Amino acid sequence: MLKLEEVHKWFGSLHVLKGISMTVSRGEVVVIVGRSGSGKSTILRCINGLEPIQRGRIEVDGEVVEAHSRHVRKIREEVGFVFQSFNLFPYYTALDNVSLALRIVKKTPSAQARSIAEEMLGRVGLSDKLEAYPDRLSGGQQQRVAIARALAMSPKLMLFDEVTSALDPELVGEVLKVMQDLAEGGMTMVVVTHEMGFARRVADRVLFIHEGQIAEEGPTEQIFTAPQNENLRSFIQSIL
Amino acid sequence: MPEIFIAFSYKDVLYLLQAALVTIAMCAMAFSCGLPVALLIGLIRTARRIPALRWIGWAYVEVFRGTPLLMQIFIAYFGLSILGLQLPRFVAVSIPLILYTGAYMGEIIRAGVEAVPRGQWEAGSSLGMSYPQLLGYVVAPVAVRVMIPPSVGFLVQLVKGTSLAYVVGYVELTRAGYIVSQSTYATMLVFTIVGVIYFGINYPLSLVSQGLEARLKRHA
Repeated sequence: MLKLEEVHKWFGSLHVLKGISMTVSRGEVVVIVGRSGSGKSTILRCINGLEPIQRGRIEVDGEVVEAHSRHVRKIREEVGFVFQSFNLFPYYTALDNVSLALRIVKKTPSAQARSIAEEMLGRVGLSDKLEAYPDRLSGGQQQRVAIARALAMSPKLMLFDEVTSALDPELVGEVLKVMQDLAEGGMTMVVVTHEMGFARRVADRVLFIHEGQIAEEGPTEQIFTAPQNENLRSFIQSIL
Repeated sequence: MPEIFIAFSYKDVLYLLQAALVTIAMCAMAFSCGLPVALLIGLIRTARRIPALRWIGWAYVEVFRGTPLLMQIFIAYFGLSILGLQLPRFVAVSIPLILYTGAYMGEIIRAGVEAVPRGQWEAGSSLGMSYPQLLGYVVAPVAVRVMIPPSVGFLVQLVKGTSLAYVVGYVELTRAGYIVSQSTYATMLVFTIVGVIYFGINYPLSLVSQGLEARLKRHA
């Protein structure tokens, strides 16, 4: 489903990704952990072409991702992205936030787009907020709308970029719950997060990124109970 | 009562009001034809990946904003006629007004587009939207709200700017005032009326702007 080969990324002279190689199979949930600035979010942004890479290769379902190309739009339709800062469209209702891309990108007829949007908002538990504007929603609700918005495109792969980091602690749970449901429903997911409890419950595999490289990867239990890499050990200690 | 005041009659007021219609029409023309120019300028000035385009937009804005409109009208009418191209008055006045609108509104559009957070662009593009779709559905709803007050400010400036058409003898409100005052000698009275008419054009613009802002402020 997803394959990265020796991906390198520079921001100017700053070498942020130093040869990342990874694969994610259909239905797999991979969690990426690591300290701030280690390059975790950059990996996700490169996967859907928001950031160009300078060396290496990224494939989504057999298609090469090339930022700024026309073709990347096709891939993005199939890759859902959820941002740390929600990024809902402020002048659209929850329903319109979710149905907009269906209508204009997928050319779905309005009535059908609306019913898909209603269904998606229902899935994230917001059936009562269809006509609400983002400024009337809590952070957790906004993030759930953002998840519904991505899901409405029926993506093959969902990318979550620290989606609970901007939330008040009491709102984190409702978002994680939605993500867990998704994972249990068989969605292929790559999740960057600091929520270790979530990672342990939901991830099939965990990648630890340190200074732009994959320092360790393995099945979730192994990473948490028997970390080999010294940086990973100190990382786990620092957050548990 | 001295003769000179009797010379000024309601007919002169009608004549001035007629000329005011010319002023309004010129503005409407300059604004509607200038907007596409402005959109082009505003968008090339925000082209992130093509520096040459940004530079062209910048040069355009600096030239047309940095030189007096009066001089541009002079060049379009007298300058070009020296070169053998005699434009009709209306055209000679219209072209500078359109280019002038392009420069100022272009900057307003640029500011509007730049006021839209990057996250909005990214959210739209991550859903597979194209650049025109992003502009129309994601950027415009945010940018337009930012653009309303400066746009109205510019429109008011444009209404007053059309008065410069008098230098080439094109009869709009200011020129008409000049003509009436020449024939009636009631200069103060005439130009007071002219001023009131200009105000009568501009003040409703401000009201419309306030109304729009209030309406769009919801869900800010």
